[in-house]
Parts: sequence; structure tokens; C-alpha cells
Amino acid sequence: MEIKKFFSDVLIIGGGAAGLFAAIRLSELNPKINVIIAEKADIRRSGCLAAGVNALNAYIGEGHTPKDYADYALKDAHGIARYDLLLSMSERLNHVTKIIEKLGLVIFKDENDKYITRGWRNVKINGENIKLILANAVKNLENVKIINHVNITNFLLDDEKVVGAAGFSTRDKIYYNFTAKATLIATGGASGIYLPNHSGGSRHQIWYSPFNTGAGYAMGIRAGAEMTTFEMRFIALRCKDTIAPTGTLAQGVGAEQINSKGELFQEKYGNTTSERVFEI
Amino acid sequence: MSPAQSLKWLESGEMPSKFNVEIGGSEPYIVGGHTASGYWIDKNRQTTLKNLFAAGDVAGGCPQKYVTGSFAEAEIAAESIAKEINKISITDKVVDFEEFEQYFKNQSDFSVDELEIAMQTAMDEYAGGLTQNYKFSENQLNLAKQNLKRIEILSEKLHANDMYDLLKIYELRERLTVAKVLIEHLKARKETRWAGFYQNLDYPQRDEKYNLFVNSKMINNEVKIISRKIEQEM
Repeated sequence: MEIKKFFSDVLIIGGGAAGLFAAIRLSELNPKINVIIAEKADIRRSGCLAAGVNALNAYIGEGHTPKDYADYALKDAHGIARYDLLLSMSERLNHVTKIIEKLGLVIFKDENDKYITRGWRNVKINGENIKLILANAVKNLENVKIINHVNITNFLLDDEKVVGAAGFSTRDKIYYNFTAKATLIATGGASGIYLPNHSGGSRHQIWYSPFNTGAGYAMGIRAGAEMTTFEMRFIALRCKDTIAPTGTLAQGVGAEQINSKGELFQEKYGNTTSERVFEI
Repeated sequence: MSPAQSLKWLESGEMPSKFNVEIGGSEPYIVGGHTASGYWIDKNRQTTLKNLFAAGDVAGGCPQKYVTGSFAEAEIAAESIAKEINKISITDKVVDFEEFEQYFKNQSDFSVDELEIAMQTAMDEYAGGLTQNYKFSENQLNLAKQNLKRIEILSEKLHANDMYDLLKIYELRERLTVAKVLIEHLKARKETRWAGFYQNLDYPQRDEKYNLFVNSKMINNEVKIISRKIEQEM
């Protein structure tokens, strides 16, 4: 057994969309801050964007304001959400879209050089390589060290203070001890808690990344962090058997969503994300 | 269109121009990029633990964030960290790695996969999974809790031959921890809201009394529920 010890100003746990973007912003703010990114897989293809994404679903289209987006999200959550967080997030949506475009993401544009949108809060992209774009941007930062294939299991605690984290290599018998001034938890959500749609060899053909196992939640829970609203589960509405997106059909080619009686159920029974699942 | 869906159309010959595409729900997930589940954070994206910040799927209270919302939160967290960093000194601390070593010494009659399926089955049947049309009752949730407790004890004894085994054991244990908290949250909201996502058979109606956040903290391995008002953080 080998033990590796690292010290840094900032430890980022999880090299997904949030973790990598945070590293980019930190370097921009102060290139003297040294950052370690601890990633369970490889930042080039990890997290729920590993295979890419074909749209940015949170964007403020023309004629709308960040407040509109916050209002929409609060309504969709049937009132259970933090408006302060929603608003400060919404205010930056278009700004971060510009940054990822500058880094190399292809966003489709019309003949007037305007983003092609689906509805007022969604832009079409060619995002198969979105993780590669982010990974390349981070790789060029001198103050950021990337450690792939390390699974973080626990925060290091000093009273109620987080002073780093520990874990192990997913490949070799190496244990890691990271000490840091500040820690950013940026891991994924949790899949695989419930029996999935398919069994046997196909059981990992699911909507969400099967490698997102709730590690970030679990280490916080064990360390005594306060958690909110776990009861608001997410259930994805999908094409049966293939778990393919329904939004591409509904918004992309204008397919109507009907029940077995041929009724347009969204109009009849409500159109929030949870209601659409209830109606089928 | 997704490759799997295109192949299905071609294989079956039931092209979408002639045949309706069947749709249905997935199993439930806990994911803060879509719903409000996750760490309770302040406007700077700091958690309730000092010097720990959160962004993306693990950050709670901020649903519908998707990719760009995760970027936005990451920026805010980075700015907060950059502001604080010079005020914090480093605390040298090394963990006891015996916790990992133990799994190489353990002996177990069960595999990780067997316990994972046992957990998923208990959650499916008793905590509102797919086969129950996402519905649950308090009695069922208590059964889920009992089942999970047994699986948790068995999971402590799992045996690892190599690092991949160790990873799988930890992934199971992470899921068990999340499931344990989830069950207490499902019990605590005595109403039905977000039908589809959350249908409590004992309380089938929405109740305005529950215009609040159900929060929790694990204290001595027990989940303690905390109610927080919606307005206080606005």
C-alpha cells in the first residue's frame, strides 16, 4: 500500500461541468491559487456529460429576463425552491454560454448570427465534445493539477471545518490524502438507488450516468452537512425501452404527447416536469 | 435522434411516421441539476460545513440548472472561494486508512451486486419505485428502512480482492447512505406534491402547511429532520 499526500489552496472533488468550470474561473480570478481536481474517472469523459449533450437547456432567450427563468423554475418545483439561488444562477446563464462558446463549443446560429433556439430557454448545440473542450481548457492552466482515477470517500474534518478529503485510486493500491484551505464538492447526483427499467446485462441503460452514485451527497451526510429536499425525486420521461429523450421528438420535430385515449395530456392535466410523468 | 431509438425504428419497421412512439418514466433519481435536492447552501454556495462549497448536481435548492446553471454556480462558488482563501490557513490532517484496508481482510457470503439488487428491490417495492407507479405509504417506507438497515450491516462485511471491488463497495455504501436520507425525507413530507415525482398514499392531497423545505442532518447515524421556511432565504 502506498499513501500519497497532497496540499493545495483549493480541492475540487469531481471534474464534471461544475468542477472544471470552477477551476477555470479560479485561475482567471487569481492564477496564484493552486487547485487540485480529484476525478473518479478521467475528466475528458466523465460525469453526466461524458457522452455529450445536444442542447443547453437553461438560457434566457430574446424578450425574456433572468427573473422569467427563476419564476419558471420555482413554478415547476411547485414552490419548493430557493428564489435567491435561482435568480443569481439565472443572471449568469447567458454569460457562461458565451464563455463555453469561446472555449470552442459549437452553438448553432441562424443567417443573422443569432443562436437557434427551441422555445425561449433552450439553444441547440453540437455538444458531443463538450467535456473535451472543458478538459482542454483546464489542462492548459498552470495552477491546476488534475488527478484522474481517484475515488474520494470522506471529507477531512477539523471540528465543523472541512480541511480536505481522502480516497483511493480506482486502479492501483494507492490511498490519497488531500489537505486544502477550501474544498468544492462538485460531484454528480445519485443513480442506481432504485430498480431500473431494464434488468440483467442491460440494467445500466438508464437515463442518468450510472457512475454517478451519490458520493458527494454521502460524504456530506456522514460529515453532518445539512441537506435539503431529497424527497423531490427526479423521474425522466423517456421513449419506452430505449430511454431516448422525448424532448427531441416533442420540441425538435413537433411531435404531440398524447395518452392512450389520444388526448393532449399536458394541456388537460398540467405541464410541469413532474405532472407530465404523473399523466402517463 | 438517439442511436438506440433510430435502431429500434429500423429493426421493428414501426417508423414514427406511421406508429406512435411509446413513452414512459424512468426509475427515480436524486439529482440537484434537475430538482432541488442537495446540500443546503447560502448565496455564496457555501454549505453548512465551514470552508466547504458546492456547485452543480450536489448543490440543493436550485432546480432546472442543467449544464449552464452548473457553470453559473461554479463561477459563484469560485468567486466566493477566491475571496475567502487568504483568510484560511491549512490544517494538516491525515486520515486513518484502516477503513479501506478492512475490506481486503473481510469475508462475506454476499457479492456487491447481490446487495445492490437487494437495495434497489427494497427501494422499488417500498419507497415508490417504477413497479409501484412511484407511489408509497408510510408503512412501506418503514419496511424499506428495515430492509436497508440489514443490507447496510451486510455491506460492512463485503470483501474486496482489488481496487475495482473496493470502488464498487463504496458506490453501494454511498447509495445506501443517500437512500437512508431519502426515506426520511419521503416520510417527513405528509402531503402529495409533484405527483409523479412524489405521491404519498397516506396524504394524497397537496397541503399548504408543507410550503416549506424538508431538510435533514445525520447525527450519530440517525437522520434528523429540520423544517425551514421558504421565505427566510429570499
